[in-house]
Amino acid sequence: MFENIADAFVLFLNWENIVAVFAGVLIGTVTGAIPGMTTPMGVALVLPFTFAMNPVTGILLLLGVYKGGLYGGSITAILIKAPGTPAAACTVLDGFPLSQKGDARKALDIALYASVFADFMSNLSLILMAGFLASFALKFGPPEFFTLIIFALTIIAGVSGDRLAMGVVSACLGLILATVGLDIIYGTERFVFNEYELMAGLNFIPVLIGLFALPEILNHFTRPQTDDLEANSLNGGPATFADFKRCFKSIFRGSVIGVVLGAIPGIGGAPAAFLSYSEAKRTSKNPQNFGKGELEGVAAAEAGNNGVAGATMIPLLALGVPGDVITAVILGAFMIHGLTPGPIMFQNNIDMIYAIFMGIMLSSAYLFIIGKLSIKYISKIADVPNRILYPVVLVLCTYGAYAVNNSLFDVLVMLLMGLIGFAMVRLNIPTAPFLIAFVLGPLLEDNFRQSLLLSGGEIGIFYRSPICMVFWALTALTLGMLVRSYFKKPASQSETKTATS
Amino acid sequence: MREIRIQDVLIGGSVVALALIGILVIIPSGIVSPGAVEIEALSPAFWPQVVLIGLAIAGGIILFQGFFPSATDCQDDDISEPTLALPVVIAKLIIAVTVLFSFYYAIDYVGIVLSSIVTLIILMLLGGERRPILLSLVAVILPVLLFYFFTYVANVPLPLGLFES
Repeated sequence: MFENIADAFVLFLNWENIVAVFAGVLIGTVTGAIPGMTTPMGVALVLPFTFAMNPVTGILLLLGVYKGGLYGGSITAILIKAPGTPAAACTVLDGFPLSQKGDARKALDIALYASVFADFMSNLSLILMAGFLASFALKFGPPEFFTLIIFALTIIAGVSGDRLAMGVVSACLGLILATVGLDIIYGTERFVFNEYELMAGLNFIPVLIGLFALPEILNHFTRPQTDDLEANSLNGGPATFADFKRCFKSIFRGSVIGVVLGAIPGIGGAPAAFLSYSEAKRTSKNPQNFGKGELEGVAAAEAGNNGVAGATMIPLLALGVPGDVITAVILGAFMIHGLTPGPIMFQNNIDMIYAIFMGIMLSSAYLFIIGKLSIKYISKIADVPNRILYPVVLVLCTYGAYAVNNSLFDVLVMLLMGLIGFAMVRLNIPTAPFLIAFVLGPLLEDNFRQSLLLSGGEIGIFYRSPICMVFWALTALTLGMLVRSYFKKPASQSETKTATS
Repeated sequence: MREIRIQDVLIGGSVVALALIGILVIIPSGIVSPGAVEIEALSPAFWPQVVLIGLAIAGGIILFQGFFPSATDCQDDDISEPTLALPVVIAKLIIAVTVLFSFYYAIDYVGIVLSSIVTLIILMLLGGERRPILLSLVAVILPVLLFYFFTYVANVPLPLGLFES
């Protein structure tokens, strides 16, 4: 083993690898921070440049982009309410309110600390527990996924505020919109109405940007000009160690959630972020502050999101199974270089695996450095007066929405979602449940139907394993607590509400 | 006797109506179901039906809450943020939405760069920016930079309309 580690050091310690990891994290952070430029896009753009590199350097460059992209999405989510990635949409919930309060710097800091910590934890679990987590992840079939997503959806109750019914309406609208496109089992059309552009369904990014950024832009025109000059300014101080300590429990829990969900192929960062956020809210002493600018909410969302980064490499390296789109691209990079991830690679190219592990650990340090720099420079945009910032954001969002599929149709989707979002905000219908349901909806339906296909229509499949039962129990517990808290609402609630408003 | 919450009644009623239209009209006309589906739950229409039933129930609850508001519901009126006079708000919103959709339609004809420049100028003026040099610089530099970034760095060809050739 020590001989292998020594060989790995020789393989890893050269300037090309050190620069590749740095460049990757930098490119990823910038890519993630641009609304519409997704992390898979960033990885795919960099892929051709890796062909001429040696395998370890190329793969480390791609991994750097992946990790930077996961963090970068949070920057614009916090500053301009335009999440760069679906997972960063959860960061918007508390990040943007903090920004509006003048605490953008604090939110960005805590997002970075949570991201780096979760990323480090994820890397560590990749190195130490690849085998164990891979075997656990393989126990997840469609019924287990279904119950997991049902449990994750209980967060809708948490983000609906005092009007649960409004939250359910919002979630149902998100779920119904997620069904647009071709049916995955029969291939027939659903709500396509002969528009071929609807056949692939609605893309996440234009919907997210439209739902969050555009209402804010339209709202800007309803406010007097004088009060928008320093709305998002970075006057607030940075996050302190006390802030980090206060959020540590949520960061740690979020990291664990991210690692476990990341190890399961097909889950991705968004459910991990939402589940982590939901758990943080559930166990917080101040759950009423979530959604209104709670630092712990930002920390939990970012920890969950970034906790998946290293863990998605577990099924890829241990079993040769890509966990998401990005790891599928990375699998392609391995194959281009004549390598096949999986147990055989652990036997034949263990030095290469260890070298990749070393690069991955280095990426956490780079993430911290680049994150600090990006907060210092990129966050200057928060000082731009809103009368300039919002039109600029609109144009940026339009380019971003177009770039996702090179399609003007996506721009139209973004604009229409903006109008829907604006109407929802004006009618006090929460938009967060819409988003959560839209992101998790396809996973929920696909796994529900796949389970029934497997069982021949027998509903008992949803109770077949201990994992399913655990998730059902957790869901029931959450709903029970929700009902209990609803009926035990303190009489002084309205006073609290007035105070928080 | 507590007062009826008109907004809830309207929202609840609209949601129930939307859900019923969805179940009775949009699903039958918008979802193509194959002839022989052995398991009903696997039908492409099953999941949207379940969701719309959920929507109708939630709408019904909001309707009920509108007619019979609880004590806390009555007290939770929003603390309104400073806003402009209603006619000004409506006028500004109409202009902003018109500009947004004109921007979208203009991209096809005059390209994304030129339409972005015009949109930026109008929206910044609408927002209250009056410094002509700053306004012109931002309106021109940003779309051009974005154009070069997406075209030459990200390899995403952008629509140029008239200037395509």
